[in-house]
Amino acid sequence: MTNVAGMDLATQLSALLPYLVLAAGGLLVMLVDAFVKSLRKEHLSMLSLLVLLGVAVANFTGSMSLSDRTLLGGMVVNDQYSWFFNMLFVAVALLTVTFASGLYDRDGHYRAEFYPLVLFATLGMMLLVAATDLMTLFLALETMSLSVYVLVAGNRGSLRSSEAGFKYLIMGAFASAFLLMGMALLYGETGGTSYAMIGDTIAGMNSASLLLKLATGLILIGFGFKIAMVPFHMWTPDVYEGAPCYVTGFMATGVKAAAVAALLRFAWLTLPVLADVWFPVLMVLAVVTMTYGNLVALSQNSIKRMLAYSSIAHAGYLLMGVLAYLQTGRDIGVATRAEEVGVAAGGAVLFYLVGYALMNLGAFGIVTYLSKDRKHEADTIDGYAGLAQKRPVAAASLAVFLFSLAGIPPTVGFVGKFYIFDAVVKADLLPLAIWGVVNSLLSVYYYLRVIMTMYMKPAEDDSYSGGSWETVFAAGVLALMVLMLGVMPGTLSQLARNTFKFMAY
Amino acid sequence: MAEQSVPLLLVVSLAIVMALLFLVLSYVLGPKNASALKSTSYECGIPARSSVQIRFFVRFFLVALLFLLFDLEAVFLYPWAILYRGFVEAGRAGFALGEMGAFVSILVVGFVYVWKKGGLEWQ
Amino acid sequence: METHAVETALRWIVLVPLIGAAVNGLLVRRMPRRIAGLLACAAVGVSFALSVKVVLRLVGMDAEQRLVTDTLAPWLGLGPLHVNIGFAMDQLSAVMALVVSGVGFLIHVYSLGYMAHDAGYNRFFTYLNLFIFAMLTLVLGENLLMLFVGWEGVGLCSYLLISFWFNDEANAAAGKKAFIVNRIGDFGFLLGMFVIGTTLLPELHHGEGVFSFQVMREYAHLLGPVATLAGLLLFVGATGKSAQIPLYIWLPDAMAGPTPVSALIHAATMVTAGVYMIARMNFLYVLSETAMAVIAAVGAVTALFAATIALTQNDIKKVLAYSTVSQLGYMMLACGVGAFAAGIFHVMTHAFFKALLFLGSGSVIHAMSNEQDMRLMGGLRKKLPVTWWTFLIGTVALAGVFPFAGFFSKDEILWKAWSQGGIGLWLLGFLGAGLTAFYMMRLVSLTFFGENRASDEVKHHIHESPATMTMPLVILAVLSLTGGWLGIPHFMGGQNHFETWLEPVFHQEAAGHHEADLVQELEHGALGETVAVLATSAHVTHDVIEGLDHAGEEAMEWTLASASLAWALLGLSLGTWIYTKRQGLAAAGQRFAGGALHRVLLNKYYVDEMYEAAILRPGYAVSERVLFRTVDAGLIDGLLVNGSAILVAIVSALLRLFQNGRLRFYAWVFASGAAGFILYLTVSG
Repeated sequence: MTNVAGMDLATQLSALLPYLVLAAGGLLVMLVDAFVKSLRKEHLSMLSLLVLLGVAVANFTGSMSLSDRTLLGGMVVNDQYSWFFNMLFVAVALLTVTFASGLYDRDGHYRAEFYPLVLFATLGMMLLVAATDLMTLFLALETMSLSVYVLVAGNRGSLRSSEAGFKYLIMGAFASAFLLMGMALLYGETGGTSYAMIGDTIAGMNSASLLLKLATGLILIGFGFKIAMVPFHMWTPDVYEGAPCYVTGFMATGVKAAAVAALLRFAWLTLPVLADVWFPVLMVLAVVTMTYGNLVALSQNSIKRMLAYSSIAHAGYLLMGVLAYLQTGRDIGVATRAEEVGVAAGGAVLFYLVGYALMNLGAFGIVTYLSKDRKHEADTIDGYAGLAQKRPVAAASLAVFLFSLAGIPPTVGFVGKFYIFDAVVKADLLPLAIWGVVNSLLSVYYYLRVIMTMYMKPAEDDSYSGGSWETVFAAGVLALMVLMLGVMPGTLSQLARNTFKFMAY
Repeated sequence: MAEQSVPLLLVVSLAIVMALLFLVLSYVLGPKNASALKSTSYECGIPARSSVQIRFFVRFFLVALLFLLFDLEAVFLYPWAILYRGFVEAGRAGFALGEMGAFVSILVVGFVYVWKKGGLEWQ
Repeated sequence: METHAVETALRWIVLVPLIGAAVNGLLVRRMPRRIAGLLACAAVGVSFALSVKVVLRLVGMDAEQRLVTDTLAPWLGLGPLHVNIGFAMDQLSAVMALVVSGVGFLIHVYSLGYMAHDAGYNRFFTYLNLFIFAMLTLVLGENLLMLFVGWEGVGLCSYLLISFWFNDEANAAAGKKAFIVNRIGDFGFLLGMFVIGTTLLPELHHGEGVFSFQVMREYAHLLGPVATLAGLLLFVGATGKSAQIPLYIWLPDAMAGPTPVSALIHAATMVTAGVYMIARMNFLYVLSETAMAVIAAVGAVTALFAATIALTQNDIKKVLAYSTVSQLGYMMLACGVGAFAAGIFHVMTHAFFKALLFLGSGSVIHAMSNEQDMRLMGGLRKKLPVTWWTFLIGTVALAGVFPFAGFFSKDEILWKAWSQGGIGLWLLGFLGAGLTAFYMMRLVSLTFFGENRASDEVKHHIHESPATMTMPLVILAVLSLTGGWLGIPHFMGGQNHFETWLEPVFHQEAAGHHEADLVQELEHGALGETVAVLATSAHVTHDVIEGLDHAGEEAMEWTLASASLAWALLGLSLGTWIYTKRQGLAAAGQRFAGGALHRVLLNKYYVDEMYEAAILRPGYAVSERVLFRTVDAGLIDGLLVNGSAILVAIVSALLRLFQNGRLRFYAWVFASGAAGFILYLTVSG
């Protein structure tokens, strides 16, 4: 532990600056809330936004001297991969804070503890991706999860919200137990908790031992819970529906991206001997996940529940990308062009995570925008009738997000799906790709239903109406980005591919 | 591979078989003469007067939670204290002290927050 | 630094009209009319000025290095498939950009007057600017995909502008026809692109844009095996856009749009896109003799075919439309015989005089209170002096009279057809040229000579157009006179600057085909076979042969040029004579040639009717009876759509039951999932 890998403390701390700024900022927001009595409601959100901007700046300046650096004796690593996701998480948190503040303004009441919790959850996500040790991984996961449990229950006085928080907590604890058990077994098998050590031990094996299979299987269950993979998904609809809508957006994009990113880093570690073991079971689960999500989403009347099932389906698409990556580690034909296929697959997943964050967060942003207050969210789809006349910008933005979620060009959702399917085909998994396309077709129906309600049905008295301008402005910018990345995905996809390449090859 | 999993499989299947066996045995062998009295919660002893899920004041819960939190985190001081001598010998006492300082100050921030928010007041 | 400024100027050439269109389009209701029009003109004016600036920079470079590129952003990066958003200007693009923005600017100015009283004024200028944007993307795009984007963009604008007055059923139908016919062509274009893409992709280094013209040209040798297929598929696209047989049918109907649109899109610029594309892809076409032969044949036949139809049309714009089809045929013919420079030369001169003629006809229509039937015109010479003089210049230029622009470009094409294509192609073109002179003079005579045959009401309103309309006419008239002087051929003592300028673009063509051409030329020449043997036997003797042959070749050029000129003059005078002095003769001629023939020509060879009988009606029947009633309504709607929808709904509702909200059940599912998972891991492998 005393070994600091030949780097002095100051260098390490400067490399850790984004995390430190975020942690200190979260504590600061807490203290300001506790001490300053004459606080007006927008002060805390301003302060949180400043903190997040500070993190972004620290992360960005850190990228100037970007090179793979193992920090704190191998507990975390600073590489392009973590840099990429830090940016994503900061953006997600920025938007979440903006959306929430907008609703608080409209509501007239605000919850001060929301802000530090979002900041701590973001810190957890960032560390989750940067973790290169099982200890850090677990701590980061719990930092994120505990914050999110509270955020989910943040709508005090609402039975649904409390119930959701409770369910999420119980199920989350359940999943954490599996994860922890897996980590313990892995430690027993490899004799270390650092990725480097685990990786070395695994690389030295000819085939996977039973213990190793069990260990990684249990860890996979833990991750599967976070990304809402069937059959570990049951909490998703209830929690997504019960949580305040801005928190749902945060969970669906940030938490999911963090879990997938950490899973990819972990999968890379175990790729050589475990790809064969994981592949068939993950294949089945990916197919079931996307099919299940899309099928059940069809018969929903609550937009949040619909998006929850859609989020399950999207987990399936993401798993397809992970599968294409796993395929490169198997002892079959693909292995000869492992790097090409692997980079395509990993790059596609990274691209999709960014695109998914943009479009899903945007959709939840619009839901937040239309909500009257925290007790009356714009949840039932019927209430969207005639929105196109009443709130044209909000309706158009939501339409863009839904089109993108359905994967219709020229949106980022289409390009993202295209990259994923392309990678899957490259990995010689054509049937999987076809099934993915069939699923996307299926999904068009329920997304279009909302758009049709907005554009074809006349407005009624109880149709939703607009909220704060910051929210709709942020959502509008997101919609433009969704379209722009749909037309010109080149730069981002290049970045995603390079990022993955530096991490994995 | 196979040799490894055989004992495990044996144990798992034995457990399942045993559980099923006893269930089936009790079902088959047990006399079945149900009556109203038999389906009450206890055949012997005193009938329950109220719900088993008793209510207690939520403040207790909060205090218990806070106690658990700070008590548990204080536990971290012990391994640190034991290792500290090693740090001193390695000439990294400052580092170790700083680490613990950071840890404790985060705890203090939490404590101050609870205090200012009125979490420690009974009313 | 300055080079950099020139490069970024390239993107603004394209983007400024887009900005103009965006501003006008977004504020379409609020924008004052005057400002909207001026803004649109200014946008194109800026484009033209910037084009001139970049072209001047090109002129200053070495002949072989004349290329300015401006890459905006990577567009697609799918593994090896790499496409940039970028622009490039070489000699060929320079000519096209100048023509598009220059002629476009004049037509914008003209429209200020022509559309002054139209309700859709702002909308019109929005579309017009959008068109210029798309067309400049087409000619300046640095790769085939950008070209295709522009190609689709101009198609869209063309559709919007043809059915600009969409309240009239016929206009909307004409727009649809243009759109659908062009889609057929575009399908061929896309397939051609796929063929090229799949052939080249495996061979490229990483990061090389497969559709970039530079890259394609560099790897052209790999395209050999697919050159015929790809070339012909792309040519299908060109027949759609450039109105060649068999897809020309949309262009005459497209005259339903406002006249400036006919001038800009359906005469001067968009319809030449096919020619530009073939010239741009010259490195592909020279690899396939078959493709070249098809292009030459289609071009030559179209040239004559359309000219015969133009003889009998009574609508002033229809005559010009068929004339455009015919002239596009000449350009294709030039490309087909490998004389790409001559084709582009004709694109340019044609842009000048055909835009002039259309704008002049617009001025006539304007004066005649929107009458387009020539039988109700006449005697406008005195009343519309500016229109008359400029129209006359346009006519003689189109007829190919020395020293007007059309003479040089058409003569160049006919000479190349003779020397590189063969006597058959030349003859088709030559006949067409005479007919061109004849039908144009018929048009002029019916419109400007004799007595006015309009109603008194209309007569009363006849007036010369305002200056915004006559000024562009005058400028275009000057260009129609002088535009050809850029390419005075060598045998007349000129330098043929135009061909020299374009030569580096068609370099490979020159290198690859020179020998074959020479042999072919010589076979027609005086020294014939003797020299041909020499030519094939020894490369070294080139110079000698050229020297020997030079005299014979020059004599032949003189002969052909004189013949063309005489032929054109004959056509002109016949046309004038018959339709001014001897009206009876025309009627007699119709009777003599047989009413039937005249009827066939008047009805445009019944091509539309044939298409209708052969394709539309059966297609409609199949679509209605088989596809709609049986397949769609029965199978797809009944079984697949409704059936699957019901199935999905049932499954969805069933699965929904799982989500019962009970935590214990959730945990149970989780645990059994985990158990299954672990069980699998223990027993597997």
